[in-house]
Amino acid sequence: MLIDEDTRVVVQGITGIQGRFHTLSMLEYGTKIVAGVTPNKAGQRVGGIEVYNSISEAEGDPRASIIFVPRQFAKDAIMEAIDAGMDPIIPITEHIPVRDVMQCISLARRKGQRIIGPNTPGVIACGKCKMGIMPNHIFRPGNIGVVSRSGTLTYEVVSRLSSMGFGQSTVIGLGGDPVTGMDFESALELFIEDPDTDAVVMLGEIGGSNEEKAAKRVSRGYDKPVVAYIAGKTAPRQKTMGHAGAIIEGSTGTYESKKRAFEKAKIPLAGLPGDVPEILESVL
Amino acid sequence: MRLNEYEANRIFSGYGLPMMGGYVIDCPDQIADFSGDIVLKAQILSGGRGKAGGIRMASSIQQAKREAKDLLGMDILGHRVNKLFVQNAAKLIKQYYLGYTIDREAGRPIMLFSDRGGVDIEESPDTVKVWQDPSEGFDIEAVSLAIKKVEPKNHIEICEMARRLYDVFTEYDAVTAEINPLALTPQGMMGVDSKMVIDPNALFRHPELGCAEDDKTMTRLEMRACEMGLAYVELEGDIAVIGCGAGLVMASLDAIAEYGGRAANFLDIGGGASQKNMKNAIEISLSKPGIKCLFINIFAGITRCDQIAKAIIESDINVALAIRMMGTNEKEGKKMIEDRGYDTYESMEDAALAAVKACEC
Repeated sequence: MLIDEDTRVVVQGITGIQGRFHTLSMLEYGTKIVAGVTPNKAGQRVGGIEVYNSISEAEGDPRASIIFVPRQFAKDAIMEAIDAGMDPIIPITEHIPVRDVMQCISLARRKGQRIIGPNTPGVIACGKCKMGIMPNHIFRPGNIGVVSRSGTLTYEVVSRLSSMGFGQSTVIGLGGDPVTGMDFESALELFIEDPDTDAVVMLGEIGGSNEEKAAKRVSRGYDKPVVAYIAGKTAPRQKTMGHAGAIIEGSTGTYESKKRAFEKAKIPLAGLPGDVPEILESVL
Repeated sequence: MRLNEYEANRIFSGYGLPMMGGYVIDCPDQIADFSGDIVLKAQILSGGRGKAGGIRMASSIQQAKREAKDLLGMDILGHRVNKLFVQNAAKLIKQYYLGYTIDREAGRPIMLFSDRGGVDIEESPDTVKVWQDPSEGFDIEAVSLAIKKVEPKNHIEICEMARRLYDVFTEYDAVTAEINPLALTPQGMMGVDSKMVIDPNALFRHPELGCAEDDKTMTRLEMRACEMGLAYVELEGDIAVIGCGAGLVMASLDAIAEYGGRAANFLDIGGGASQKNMKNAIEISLSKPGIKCLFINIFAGITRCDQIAKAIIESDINVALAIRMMGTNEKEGKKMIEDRGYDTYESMEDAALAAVKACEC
């Protein structure tokens, strides 16, 4: 699902510090990176990958893009990826203005392309392909799908799953922004169709009503077990908790609301991240 | 970042929105001669100021000066009043609400309009809601149709205001722009109170509005942390918390609460934090009075445990420590810390429990 060993990847912003570092790490994981893009840097190479001025000039027929450009230029980079027909498009960049994000997502949706993020650690199809910035060594191929709004919380839970023998199929970082391209519900739709996934772990956090929407989807009938953890039980109101999207506004986005929605959908909720493997064991 | 009412009022007026004018004072003597009644409004960045006594009426200059003297310097809902916005009182024949915000789940701006004022505006079934496509221009037809249904009499004027307010909303990268109340007065439609919140991530496009650390809703320590590029939120407990990644730090706070402790703060040093970031983080989190323990929870991806450890041993820490460290260069980091005589813990839960226990003795 989403990406695999045959996905031909272009890295936009490949010559920056982040782009360079993570290109090498993705190559090490086995990702098929066919080209890099940085305007006015054509002819350079990063980790043996040829750099071009734009996606349209790039050779190697790239189909999916991961983006590391600074937030001032992020909108232009995402628009370029949309124009070039990339799918999925994964902007790693943090702090992109929400107006830019909304414009990109609206256009991508109209054209049927998927944006994952921004402000995401990316996506990994375990043992096949990594389009992201997560540490390679914590993942083990297996049958658990993971979808999360937080990077380090994903690493925390994945490393515990791995050490307890629960390998992962695909791990999706949705991103910590208030508006993101993919949401929990659409990730659940992908996992239900994926023959390699037997159960799903959802890692949510306070803010917005994305978890509530996903819980409703599960209530309508979902054939695979779902286990969840929500961070921010003790977060105060009206304060942004690190992620731009992690904020309780008025009565929206509270832990209690998400907990109620999950209880209604009969999704077991872990009290702490460390409880996830045990709960998973009990539902499998 | 929330703007003051008077700042939003000026921006709205600049876009041709008919706003009730006024002037700003920071001392009672600045009140000008006037005819008719005036309203004095405390300029604080908090909702509910009317109920908390932050809005006063006056019908003579003496009374106005008395009220101003009373209000200036007052503490309202935790905010000190330094400025007042002085407006002529108008007869409000009918009150409406008009505003824009972002519908996070739809990924679109949404217009909200109500002819019953602004209470519980988002939840009320009577609120008119029109979503806008962020990659297209303003959808005047949809707005016109929707407003006409509830307000056939004044709908042309209100639609024109809705269009102009949308221009403000998008051009200023606002996440909230509202006129509440928008009122029918003997002089026609008038915006009385205004509110605007700017996307902090877009402030680089609006340098005239200041930068993220100018946000007056932050505490002094939060402002200092913001200047240093740290995401810090002050809380009320005695366990200082530092971690990397928003989700993991929130989970750390949850773990402390689970074991009966109280966190003093949220502090995310972010991914790839340097030794200097970590030193700053320790300094900020320990500046808050009453800290008994420091809980550090690092899951290092692009962060390096040895750099974190260096920052810890070079800092002046005179409270109990509970450190959990995992990931890149973990061995080196742990060794440095253990050589210094501090314990490290394998799991965040164990470290959180140790932090809570340290506060009990």
